[in-house]
Amino acid sequence: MTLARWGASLFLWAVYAFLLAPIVLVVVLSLNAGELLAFPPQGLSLRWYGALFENEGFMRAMRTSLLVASFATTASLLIGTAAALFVVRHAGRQRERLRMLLMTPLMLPEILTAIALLFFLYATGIGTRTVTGLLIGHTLITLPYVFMNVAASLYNFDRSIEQAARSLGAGPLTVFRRITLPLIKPGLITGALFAFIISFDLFNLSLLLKGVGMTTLPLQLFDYLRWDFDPTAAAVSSVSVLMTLIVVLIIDRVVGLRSIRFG
Amino acid sequence: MTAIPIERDTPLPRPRTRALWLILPAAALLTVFLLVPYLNIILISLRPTVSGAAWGEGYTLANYARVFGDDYFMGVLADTVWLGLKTTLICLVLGYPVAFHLARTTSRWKGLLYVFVLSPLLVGLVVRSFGWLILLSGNGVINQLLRDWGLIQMPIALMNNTLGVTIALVHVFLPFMILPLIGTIQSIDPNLALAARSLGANGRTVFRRVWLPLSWPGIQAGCILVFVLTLSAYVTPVMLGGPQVKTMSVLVVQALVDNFRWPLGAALALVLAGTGALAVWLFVRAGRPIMRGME
Amino acid sequence: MTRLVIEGLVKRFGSVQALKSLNLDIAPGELISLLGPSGCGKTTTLRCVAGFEFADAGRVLFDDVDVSVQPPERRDIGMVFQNYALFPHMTVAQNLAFGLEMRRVGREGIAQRVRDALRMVQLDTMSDRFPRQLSGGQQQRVALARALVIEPKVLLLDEPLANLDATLREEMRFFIRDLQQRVGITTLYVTHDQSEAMVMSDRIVVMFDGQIAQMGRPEQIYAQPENRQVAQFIGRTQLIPGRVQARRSEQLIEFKSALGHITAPGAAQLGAGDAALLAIRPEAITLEATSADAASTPAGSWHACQVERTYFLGGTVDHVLTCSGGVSLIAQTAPAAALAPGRSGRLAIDPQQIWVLPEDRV
Repeated sequence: MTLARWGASLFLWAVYAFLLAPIVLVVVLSLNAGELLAFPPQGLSLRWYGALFENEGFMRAMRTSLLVASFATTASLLIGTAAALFVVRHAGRQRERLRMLLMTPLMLPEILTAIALLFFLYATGIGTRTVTGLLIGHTLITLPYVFMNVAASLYNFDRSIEQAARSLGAGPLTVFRRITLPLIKPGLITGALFAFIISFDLFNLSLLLKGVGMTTLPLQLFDYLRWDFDPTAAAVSSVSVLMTLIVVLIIDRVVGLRSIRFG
Repeated sequence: MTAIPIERDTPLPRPRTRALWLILPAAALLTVFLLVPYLNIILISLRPTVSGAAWGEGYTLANYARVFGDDYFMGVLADTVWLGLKTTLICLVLGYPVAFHLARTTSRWKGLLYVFVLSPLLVGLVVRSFGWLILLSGNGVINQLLRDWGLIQMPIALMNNTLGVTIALVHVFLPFMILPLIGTIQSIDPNLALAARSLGANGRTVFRRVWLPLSWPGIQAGCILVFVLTLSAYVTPVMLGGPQVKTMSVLVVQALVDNFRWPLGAALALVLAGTGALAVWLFVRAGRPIMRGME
Repeated sequence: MTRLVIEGLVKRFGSVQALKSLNLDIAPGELISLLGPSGCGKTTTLRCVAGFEFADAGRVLFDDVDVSVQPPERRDIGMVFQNYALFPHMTVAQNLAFGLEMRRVGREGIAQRVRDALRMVQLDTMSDRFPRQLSGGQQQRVALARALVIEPKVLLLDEPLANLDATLREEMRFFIRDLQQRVGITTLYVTHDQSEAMVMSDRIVVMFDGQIAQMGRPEQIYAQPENRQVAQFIGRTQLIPGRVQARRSEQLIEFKSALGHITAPGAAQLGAGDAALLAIRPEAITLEATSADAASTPAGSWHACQVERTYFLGGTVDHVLTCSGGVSLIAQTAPAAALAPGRSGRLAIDPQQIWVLPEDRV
């Protein structure tokens, strides 16, 4: 291999290392048997994961995050799939414009959307006493991800299969249930997984929309890090990483990572 | 043999109108919870800032006057835009080769490499910033290693300054540059490069005259995305910038959450968004001659 | 065995008139081909019969029942699509079972009928395969079985063989035709391939521009095209312009052209003085080399000609000829009897195999 080729390979590997370094580090540190976040770790141990599960604050935050993410994912799936069906099949000339519109929550600065929602919640009296604001905000942000992925699988959909089903006697609802839905499953799954992970990880929005007494996992971690610097934080982070890895693996098994859409 | 055409007496089923129900939930969600709040925030930014209440009576442009007239605010805005530009450029330089490689490689590790690119995205902002904290801080990993290898005596300040913030931001947003690029590069017909070579172009020329121009839609998409996201980043500058580094988002949150001065905060946020939109618009206009060749 | 009637079907797409008042009466058990170039309206007609398009005016009747406003799932049709449209997430057996499930056939009945249908298309061993594991021809047969297993009133085929290679296409033509005749189902078959239409159909409906140009049995359409478009679309034909001199009998017309006078069968509506075209198919021409004594120009129907170019086609050789009067004709011979370019020859036109048809009124 020529020098240029070697240089290029090195460059690529350096970038990949750059992408992975912090994450790998965090996971390694969470297994540290010692007290501090020192590198290299002083022996391996799972004690910090134990500490994590006993930490009431983190556990509560985790539950809230899971709850909000589940709701946002479900809501986005329903709303986003319906929207994707409309935009791909019935929008005609307005298609591109509608697509842009549905992607706006992604394009607008998250912090701005969070502020706008916050003001709105107060103006309408909903306020941040309940978790409603959080649910709405998360749904809003995750919607484009679901829409994008479902729309992508609908774009390449062979309509004649649906027509064949109708010619065999299936009404529109049956066609949707037995033909369309199973065949766009990859798009649905990818969208749902993305929505879940994105919602779980949301920070700016949760920061502004959370009420007193409630918090999500990223926020809790953030606060924790301002005062304590022990590997419990690393353990929390590793749990996040593990979750992500599982999600990515599922996506790869179901659809292959190449089919993930990003606008 | 021609019969008189018989006009229909029963109305035809109208599928188009029934389909409108599909878009209704999304439209309602976006209108009520996005459009209206944004209009509302514009209104609030026009209210006078008072202490003791969310805002005062009447409407005024005082907040905007304050933002534009204050050297400090303008300075922070300029710093933020500069940070955005730096980050975007670095992401482009680092990301294009990776995207190029990933788009065209046939190695069996392709899937794994995809995971590498995606992982920062999915792992969590706080987790990532935390990781960088460990790496870059005074007694962090890098400094420790450098000291162990005897390369330095005193720790280098890799954190609590713009350097640390830039590094971390690049890390956070690099996938957002790589992924759109992969899509665009994959859609370029490889036969075009072969055609150029058959006409006598060498590797570098092929890249400069074929790959690069044709990647422009992806480059544009990636740059816009990274720039806009960088402008409004909050967690990373806070965690890695310390008290010295202030970006506009930090000021906005300060005004809103810490100081409870909503109209001012709103004005700051809108100025930030407006600046970002302006920059993007200029960028797209500048790139128009290149885009005209495609689509 | 259903009678399919189409009355005054009109369909517009925006400013384009796809169908201009179409009328068709298909007898029970008949296989009718809709033949024409792309854009002629044949697929639109099929889709109107299926229910995927609703016509702007006109009716579709299955056995005197007006199905015009009924959605496809209620018309009891069986449809075969150009790209087969098999359900990729179901096995062959499940594909076939689908239509039966829609008709609430019991599980026993479904299993039995699916088995019989697969046997009918000779795919008994494939029932648990998925479509992507089958070849193109096999997929086509599954599509056919799926449409027939439900025993519909009407069978609709939309260019089903277009995606198959040439040899397979020929095999499948016979296969489909045999099956259709055995089952006895009324069938509408859309194609742009005229040899396909001729092999398979009881009657052919030739369409141009949203209208029926001619309708009739294959032999009729081939031998007696009613206008220039049909003549040129079916088989290979050469059209010589000229004028009708007189009407000799009910069938025969005296025709004058650059080739001279000729008496041949012609369209009934032609009268003396009408502008007309003489349709000559290559098989109507006999080509011979002129013998050494070229002076002997035989009487009547032999024309002197010169060979310009030849094309070798395997079983035959095409000769491009220039005849007296500057007329250019193409004639075929067997390879053994071919003439070299530049040679003189003579050709005879069989008056029984040519046809005089009206010139289009512009």
